[in-house]
Amino acid sequence: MEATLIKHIGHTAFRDIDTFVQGGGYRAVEKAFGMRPEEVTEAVKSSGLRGRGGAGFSAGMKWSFVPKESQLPKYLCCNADESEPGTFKDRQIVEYEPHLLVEGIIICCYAVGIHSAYIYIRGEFAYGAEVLENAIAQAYSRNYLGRDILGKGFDLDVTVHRGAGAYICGEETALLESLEGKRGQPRLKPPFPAVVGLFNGPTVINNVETLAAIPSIINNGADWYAAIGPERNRGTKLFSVSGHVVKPGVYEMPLGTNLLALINDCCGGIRPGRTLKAVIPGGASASVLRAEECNISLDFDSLAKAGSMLGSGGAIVMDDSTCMVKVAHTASRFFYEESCGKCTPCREGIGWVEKLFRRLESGGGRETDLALISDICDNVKGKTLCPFGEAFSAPLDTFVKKFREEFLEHVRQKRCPFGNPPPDPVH
Amino acid sequence: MPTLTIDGKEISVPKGTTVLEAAKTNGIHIPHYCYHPALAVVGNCRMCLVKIEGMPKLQTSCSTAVAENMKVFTKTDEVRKAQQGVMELLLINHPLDCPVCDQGGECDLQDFSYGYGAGKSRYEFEKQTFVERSLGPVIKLNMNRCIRCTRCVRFCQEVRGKAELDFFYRGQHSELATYDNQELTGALQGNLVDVCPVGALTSKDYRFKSRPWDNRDVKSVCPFCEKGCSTDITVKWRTGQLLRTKPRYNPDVNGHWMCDHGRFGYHAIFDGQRVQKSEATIGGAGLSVVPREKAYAAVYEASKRIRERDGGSVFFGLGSPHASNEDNFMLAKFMKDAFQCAHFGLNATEDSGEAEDYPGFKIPSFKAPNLQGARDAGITEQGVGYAGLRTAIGKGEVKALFVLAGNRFSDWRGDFELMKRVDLLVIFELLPSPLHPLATATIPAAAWTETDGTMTNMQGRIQRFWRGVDPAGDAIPQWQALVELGQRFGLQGYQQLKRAEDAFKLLAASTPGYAGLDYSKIGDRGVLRVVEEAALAR
Ligand SMILES: Cc1cc2nc3c(=O)[nH]c(=O)nc-3n(C[C@H](O)[C@H](O)[C@H](O)COP(=O)(O)O)c2cc1C
Ligand code: SF4
Ligand code: SF4
Ligand code: FES
Repeated sequence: MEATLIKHIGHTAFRDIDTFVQGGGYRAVEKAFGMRPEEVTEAVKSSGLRGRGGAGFSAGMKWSFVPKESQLPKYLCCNADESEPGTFKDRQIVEYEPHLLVEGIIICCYAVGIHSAYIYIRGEFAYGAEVLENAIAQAYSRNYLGRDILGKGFDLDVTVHRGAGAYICGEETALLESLEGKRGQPRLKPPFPAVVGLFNGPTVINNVETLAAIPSIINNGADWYAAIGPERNRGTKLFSVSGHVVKPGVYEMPLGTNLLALINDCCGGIRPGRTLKAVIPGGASASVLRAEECNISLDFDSLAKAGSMLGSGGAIVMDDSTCMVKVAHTASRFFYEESCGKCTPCREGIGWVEKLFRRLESGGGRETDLALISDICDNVKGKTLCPFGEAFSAPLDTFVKKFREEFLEHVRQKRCPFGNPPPDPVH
Repeated sequence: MPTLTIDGKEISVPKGTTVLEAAKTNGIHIPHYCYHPALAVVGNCRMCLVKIEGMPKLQTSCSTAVAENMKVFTKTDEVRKAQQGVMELLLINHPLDCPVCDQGGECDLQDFSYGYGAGKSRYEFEKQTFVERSLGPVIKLNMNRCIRCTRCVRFCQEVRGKAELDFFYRGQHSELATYDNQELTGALQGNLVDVCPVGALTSKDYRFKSRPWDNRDVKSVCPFCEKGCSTDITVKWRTGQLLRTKPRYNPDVNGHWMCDHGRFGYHAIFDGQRVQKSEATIGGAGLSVVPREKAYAAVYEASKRIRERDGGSVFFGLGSPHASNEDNFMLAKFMKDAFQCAHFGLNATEDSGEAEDYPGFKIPSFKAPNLQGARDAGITEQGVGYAGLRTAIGKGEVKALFVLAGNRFSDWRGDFELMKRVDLLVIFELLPSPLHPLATATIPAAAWTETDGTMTNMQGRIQRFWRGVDPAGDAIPQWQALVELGQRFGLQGYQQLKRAEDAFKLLAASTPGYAGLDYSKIGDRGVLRVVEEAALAR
């Protein structure tokens, strides 16, 4: 199956607009301009494309929620904040296919009637931001951006905005606040961004990968896209695979690819002499799968049914040398540092859970700590202002439930049975 | 009007009402921290979660609008567990230093912990701590107690109109501070203490002075400008000491707020040397402390002499926008009854020119509470205020002068020589008046906190204040001193005037716009006086 999202990964040549155009680039823009905007949205809807930022919401539906008439300007925010642990796929698009992203942005804006778009890029992606800036400058010089694009009377400006290092700014409403120059903290919903978003204008927020999928849908047709992958889970997806595999990396595969096939066929299997222990399939916010649960189709619905999620498609593969208590603690520490602190259960709950995991990994834990962690997670789950609360309470609770014996072994031995030293203090 | 049920109780409320407000107006209490009726809804404390039938997750009642046929439950096991969970989490890093916290006894954290918490904590780790900080002249911040509800932040942004306070850092490390550690500015800072539901923001003025159970609140009206904010004055039970002033919610006047000039203005009166005794010049000697009856006698004797010599037209009553309706009314009545005199003026009528406009609160520039009331009560001005009086004195037309609130003689220009041409000077005063050395008799006057009465603010709203503390020394309400003086003069009907309301009823009977009013009709929030069309036409 031909890659459509990262066809040129590793080849810097396609950052250049001429090379990109020679390879068929920006043709989708011309084709889209030949359609009515509603037709473009309809095509994206019927392609079955679901958002690649984690929640898997239908992209076409999201676009159609934006009111046609609006007093205030409408906006597109491309979410390139990619900070989910284990996820590094948007970065490949940004660095090797910047024009594909710009092309997707132009088509989206045309469909929704938007004249100004922002790419909110993770602050640490300084290099990627530079690549994007160059691509955008080239696109302006060829009139793919700017006034009266390609003589079709459509105007569009694209601005790159670098984040300041907060994971939460990937959450769409925190992203909006941050873009507006405020503290990056989520907003209460409703109203939803499609109605009241950036600077109060109706706003579409889409992930990099979502937008990069648009040109091939327009070029090849919605039916072509809808033929890839299982029912309700169409298209190809980027999987960033890290951990104990022979060939970690980013792989573009159809949704519905088996997880074991991804590990064994794409990534060359588990490193020699070791066996698979567990996989976190969709970034740190997804609940861990035990080895015996890994014979599973990588798509939104199958993973949700298994109590986990496809999330960002960041698969963290762990072999039998891995201490799951340490993994749980490391994850909790990340969430502790990244909780924005706006709402009570998340802000306070994660700090407490981190301390309990730390104590368990250090050998000072008790059996009752496990029930306590589960109960704190329950007091967080579904009670926070934004999905961050679920993003840590569900996976952390799952560690305790699925690897209970390993936790108890830490309690019995009063140390980490894998010989790990006590975790460093958090500041 | 959507109809919904909350805990089985059927209620109808206007469209757009939130579940929390609907519950509140129907006597069902849902605990909440970040919600404040006058600030934007942010939904961050998560204390107000309720169950709504058909919704998978619990919902924040502060941000959920009611809908037709909605079924809300505030007391299910799931809701209770969520409330206990939030309470426990709010307290894991809280110092639990209630015994030394100013807020203790009037703290939502304490109250909801008792009402909705599990009563115990399972947290065994070290708590996070912060150092105490000053946020300017008014506020002390104890970050350890802060529950990060952001009411204070929103107050500064929305009401004060300057984003000078916000959280810095992230998550559990987030800390409230001003930009660059500058001092807070503006005249609304005291409201932050009221807005904070816990003991994180305390008043430098009030802190450590008392505990709530040693206090009682008495309803009052702020006397420091013509807005006349509704207030509560806090009085210490045991000592009768006035401890602080807080705004009292009045949607018609001040909403939830008051300004710092009014909040802390009481110091100007109570920290000064209050006049505690009456004084009079007896037999040509200088002023000396005398019992009140002696002072009245001196006034009576002098009045008699002047009246016989010059007639009633040389008597002049100087009312004050710093005195109550009752005080001004009784001055006018006494002058008319005793001397058939109709010469009146008002002192302290100068406008400060210092209005302050905040997005959520306007502070007017006229810094006395009762200009309207004084005029209504019969102090119809002759000539042009104090300037007119000076001219009259210069021409020898005024030989006897009765001055209300003589301590607030802001129009005084130090013209002692001129004033010496007045033969009888009677001064009612809270603090020594600049005219005090020239007085024939002085009467120590009760402050607004020490007596009952009414004032009429710039809107024409008649508002009631209540006696909260005992008068200083021998101080007496000015209306009452005038009643006593009238009795000494043998005037008709003065025996019956025993309470402030008696004076008010007489005022109401003779004043257009006040007809039919009594104290019960004025109530807590005041009533607008009725301005007749004829009066408007004039
Ligand atoms: C804590 C948190 C972090 C998130 N981080 C990202 C991110 O880095 N990139 C991203 O595209 N979406 C992220 N999301 C999801 C966004 O809120 C949003 O759903 C997404 O950008 C929508 O785009 P899509 O519909 O194309 O997936 C995050 C969500 C949460 C709750
Ligand atoms: S859940 Fe966490 S990240 Fe989300 S608003 Fe609450 S504190 Fe912030
Ligand atoms: S200081 Fe008080 S009002 Fe401000 S956030 Fe903290 S608890 Fe809320
Ligand atoms: S009062 Fe509703 S979330 Fe705070």
